[in-house]
Amino acid sequence: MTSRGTWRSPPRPNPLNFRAFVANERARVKGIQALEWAPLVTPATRCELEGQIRHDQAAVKGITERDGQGITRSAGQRSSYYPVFFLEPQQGNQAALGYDLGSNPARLAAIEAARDSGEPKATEPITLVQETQSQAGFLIYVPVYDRALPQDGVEQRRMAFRGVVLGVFRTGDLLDAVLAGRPKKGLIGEIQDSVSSWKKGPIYAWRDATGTDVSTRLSLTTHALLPSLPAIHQQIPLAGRTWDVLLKPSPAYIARTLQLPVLLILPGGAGADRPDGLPLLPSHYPEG
Amino acid sequence: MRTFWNSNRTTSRLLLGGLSLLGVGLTILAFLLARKEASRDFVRDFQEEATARVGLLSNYLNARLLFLDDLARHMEISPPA
Repeated sequence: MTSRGTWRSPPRPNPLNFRAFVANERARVKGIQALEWAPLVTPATRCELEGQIRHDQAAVKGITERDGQGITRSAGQRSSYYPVFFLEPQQGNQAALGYDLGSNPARLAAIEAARDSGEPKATEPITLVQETQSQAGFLIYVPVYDRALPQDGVEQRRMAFRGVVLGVFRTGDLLDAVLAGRPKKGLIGEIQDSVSSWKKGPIYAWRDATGTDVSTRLSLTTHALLPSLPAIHQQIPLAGRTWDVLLKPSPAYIARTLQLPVLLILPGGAGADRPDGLPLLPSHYPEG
Repeated sequence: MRTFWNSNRTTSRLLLGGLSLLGVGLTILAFLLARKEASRDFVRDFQEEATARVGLLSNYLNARLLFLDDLARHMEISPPA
């Protein structure tokens, strides 16, 4: 995908226009935490832009960053800033307004990759500044350039670079939206970023109703029903990153679907009327 | 007479034992055949469902990328505040 949004100067984007443009997407699509605009700000333009944005949006107090304890403070001195100046919806995302995306190494790396390549780039799994639970999040940046300037190489793109638009996602909300209306068949699985883990685990895990996940040992009963456990392992490219998706059937799903032979043949099959559908055979299956 | 009776009983026991073994064997065979048939359908259904889920996720992410690309282009034509 070629992504060459360019920003005509001197006109500058305004929050009302931004809100109007993203309103339809927000209304139509679930699973998006926020859509944002973060311009490139230099120390020379910081005061002027902070004044403009305070005039446009009283909620923005200035350019901020988080310290090691997660406390918000005014951003320190550095060569460039990428503060979130527009975002929609504001409800539930106020913590991100004014936050300098360049103050965090994972976010900055993806911004610079997008700037230099002219392509959308996703961050590694991160904890969003607006996160209130414990979901993994990620951002997808698309660079915006000054259309009056050439953008034929890395150096020219750096000169023409004006900022990024970004989508903010929480993986749990995203998967809920994607699979809404899909029958819950009892699949278990996980999604991993191919390079970075998130808190030493997957960025998302499918569990069945009993809490069983892919790490759960299968019972003898399950092995008796299906000696060779099928699994789907696919990779999804995502804006410069790769997600590894692993899906397996849960033991309950296997038992529910394959219990007929057991019912017909094995005396233990009489247990198939248990709530979890498992026959009365020796089992390590968790009762949840 | 006694020898005949003993021999007959032994034969009956052997016959019963053989029939029992045959029954067990047939039961196992029937179970394996039923499991093979059911598991083939199960694996096909599972693969269809799993592939559909991965496809939905991939399509969703691609659609969001397209929208963000449009948004970036929109910033190009944003009127002055």
